Amino acid sequence: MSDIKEEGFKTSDVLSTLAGVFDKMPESEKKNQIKKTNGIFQITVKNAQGKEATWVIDLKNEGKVSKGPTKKPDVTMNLSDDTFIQLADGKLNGQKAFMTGALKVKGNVMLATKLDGVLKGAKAKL
Amino acid sequence: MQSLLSGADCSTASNPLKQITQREGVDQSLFRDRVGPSSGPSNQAFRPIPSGPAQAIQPLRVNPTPHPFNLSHLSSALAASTSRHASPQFDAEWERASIAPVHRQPPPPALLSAEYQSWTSPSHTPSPWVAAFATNGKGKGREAIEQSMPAAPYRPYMPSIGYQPTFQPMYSGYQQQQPIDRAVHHYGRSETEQKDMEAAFERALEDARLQRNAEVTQEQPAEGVREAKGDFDAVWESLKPEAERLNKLAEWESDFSQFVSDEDDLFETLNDSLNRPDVGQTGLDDQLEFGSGEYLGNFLQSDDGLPAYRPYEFSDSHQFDHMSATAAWAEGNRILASGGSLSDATGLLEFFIQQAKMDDYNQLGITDVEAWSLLGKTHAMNEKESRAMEAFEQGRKALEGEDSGREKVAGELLINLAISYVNESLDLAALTILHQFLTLNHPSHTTTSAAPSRHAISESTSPWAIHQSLTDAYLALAREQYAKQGIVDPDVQVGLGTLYYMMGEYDQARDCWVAALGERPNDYLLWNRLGATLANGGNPEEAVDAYRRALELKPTFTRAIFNLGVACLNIGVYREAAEHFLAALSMHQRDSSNPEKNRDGNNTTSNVTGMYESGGLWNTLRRALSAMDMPDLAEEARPGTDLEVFRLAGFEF
Repeated sequence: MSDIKEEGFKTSDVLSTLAGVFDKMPESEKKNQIKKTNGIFQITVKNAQGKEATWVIDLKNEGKVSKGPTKKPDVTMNLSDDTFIQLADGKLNGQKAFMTGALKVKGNVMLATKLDGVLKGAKAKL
Repeated sequence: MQSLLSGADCSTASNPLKQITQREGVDQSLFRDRVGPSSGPSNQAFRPIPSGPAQAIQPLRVNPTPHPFNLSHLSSALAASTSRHASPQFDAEWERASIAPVHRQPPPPALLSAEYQSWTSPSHTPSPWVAAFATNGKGKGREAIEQSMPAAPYRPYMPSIGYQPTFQPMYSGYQQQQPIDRAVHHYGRSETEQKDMEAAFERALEDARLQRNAEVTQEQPAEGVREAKGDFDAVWESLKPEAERLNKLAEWESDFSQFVSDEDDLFETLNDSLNRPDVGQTGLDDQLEFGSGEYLGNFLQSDDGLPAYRPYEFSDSHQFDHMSATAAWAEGNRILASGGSLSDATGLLEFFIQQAKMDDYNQLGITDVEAWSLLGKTHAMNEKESRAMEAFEQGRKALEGEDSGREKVAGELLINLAISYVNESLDLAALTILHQFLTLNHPSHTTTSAAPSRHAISESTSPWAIHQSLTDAYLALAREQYAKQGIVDPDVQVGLGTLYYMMGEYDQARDCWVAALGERPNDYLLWNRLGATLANGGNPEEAVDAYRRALELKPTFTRAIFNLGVACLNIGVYREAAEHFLAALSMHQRDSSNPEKNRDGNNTTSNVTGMYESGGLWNTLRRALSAMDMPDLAEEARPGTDLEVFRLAGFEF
C-alpha cells in the first residue's frame, strides 16, 4: 500500500490498513459494504507541519482507498491529522467534530457521519 | 472500574445515589439531573459536606463559574443554534455581554422567573425543591449546582438560575478596578504626571464609589464578600484567579467569534446537504438499507425508516416434532436459564411459535408477543442480528392486535428492537421504535417530540434535531419517574442510553447502563452493552471487564464473546481476538453440525441463511488473521469453512 502512504501523516497509516482490509474482502462482502455506505469520501488532512494531503475512500463503485483528489466526491471533508485519528479511534464523534468546526464538510453531511463506521471496521455491538 | 464491577456495589445499588458518591471522576450529570427537581432525600445529594477548605475559598466561590459568557448557557444555545427558541435571546445576551459588560445590569426579575419556569416545566408543578431553591438560592442549592457544573457535559438542562444576578456586580467591579489599580501604580512613579494622575485617581475613585453604591443597592444581601470595599489590593488579590480565568475567556472569546463567522458556512453546508435532490436516495435510503447482500435483498424504504415487513423465515425444526409446544417452550427456557446452546434454544422457540395454539399460550400464561420477544432476544444474544430484527418485528406486529397487558412486554421488545437497529446503523428506524415505545408506555411524554420520519428530518434545520427532541423526552420521563415515584425504570434508562450511544456520547450512555444495572445487577445484556459502550468510546481495556462479567452470568453469550474479540482486536492482541471469534463461530456451528439436522434434505436454505448470519463474525475473524500476518488462513475465513481448519492451525477455542 505504498501508494497510499504519505510521510508525516498518522492518517495514512489508518487508511492503508483500511485499504488492506478492502483488498482482502471477498467480493460479496465488499458489495454489501458498498451498498451500506454508497458514497465517495474525499478527505483532505492537514498535519502538524501544515502540510496537506488528500485521500479518497470510494464506497460507491469500487470499494477502495486511493491518494489524491477525485472528480466527483459525494462528500468532501477537511480536518486535521489529529482529528482524523480521534474520529477513527472513537474518541471524538462526527457530530461534535462538525459542530465545533474541527471537521468541515461540503456535500452530504449525513454521509460524513457514516465515515466513523467505515473506519472502524470492528465495532462492538450493544 | 473496580467499584463498578464488584458485585457488592451492584447489590447495594438500589439507591443510585450511593453509586454517585462512590464514583468520583465519572460524569454524574445524569444522576443529578434526574434527581434534580425532586424533594426529600434527594436534596441530600445536592448538599456538599461542609469542610474547612471549602469555607476558606468561599469568598471566591460566591462568584460561581458563570459569567456573562456563561458556557453552559452558550453551549446549549449552540447545540440548538438552529433552533427557534434559543437564538434571539442569546444574541441579545451576547451583544450586551460583549459590548458593555461594565454597564450590564442584572437581568430583570421577569427573565429570571422565566428561567425558573423553563427549568421546572418538565414536572409542571413546582416541586418543593424549587421552592426551597427560590428562597434559599444563595445558599446550599446554588453551591450544589455549582458543584455539579464542571462535571456536567449535559448542559441544556442545567439551570442558570441565580448566576447572572450574583455575578454581574462582581464582574463589573473587576472591570472598574483595573484602571484604578493602574493609577495607583503610576502614582508613585512619575512626578510630572502626578497631578494629572491624582485627579484621574480621584475621579476614578469617585466613579467607582458611585457605581459601587448603586450596585450595592442592587446586590442581594448575601454578597458579603464586598465588605472588602476600599481595600483595592485585597480585592485585586482576591480577583487574580478570576483574572486568569478571564484571560482564558478572552482566548475562548476569539475562538468563538471565529466560530460565529464560520457559522454561515456551517448552515450553508447543512442546508446544502439537506436540500440536495439526491439526499433522499443516495444519502438516507442507502444508509437505512441493511442486510447481507443478496440474501436479504432490497427493502422498500418507508418514511419511518423501517425496513419493509418480511415474514419470519423459520429454520428447519423437525427434530423437535416429538415434543408438544408447551414442552418446547419449557425446554427452550430451561436451556436459556441453564446456559445451554443459544442456537438450540432458538430452534425450540421457533418450533413453539409454529406449533402453539391459543390454548398453549393460555396454559403458559404468555402472549405471542412475549414469545417473539424472547426469540428475538435470543437471536441477538447469539450474534444473529438480522434474525433478531425479523423476530422482533413479528412481535411488534403482534403487539398491534393486543389489548391488555401489552405494556408489560412491549417495553423490552421495543427497546431491544431499537438496539438491533442501532447495531445495524439503521438510526432512523431505531428512532421510530424508540418513539413508539414512548407512545405506547408513556403517552404523556410523546407530545414533546414528533414521530421521527425522513420527512421530519428534511423539514428540520438540523439532521440531529429529532434525535435531540427524543433524548429530551426520555430524559424528562426519567426525571419525572424518579421525582414522582422514586423509581429508576431500566427500560427508560436503556432507551436513553441507546440514544446517547447513537450520538457517540458514550459517557452519558455508560451512566445510563450503570443506572439500569443498579436495578438489574444480573442482566448480562446490560453488562455487554456497558462493555460495548466503553469499547466504542475508546476504552477497550475497561470494556473487557464488563464483557467478562456478562460471560460469567451467561457463558454462551455469543455477542459478548464476539465483543471480547473486538476489544482484543482493538487492543492489538490478535491471537486472542481470533480465538474469541472462533469460539463465537463455534457457537453457531454447534447446531448445524447436529447430525439429526444434517440428515434432513431440506435444510440447505437454513444452512445458507445460517452462513450469512455469521458473515460479520467471519469478516472480523479475517481482519484478525490478516493482522497476524496469516494471509492463507485469512483466505479460509469465510462462511462455510469448517472450524477444524483453524484448530489444526493451532488456535484454541
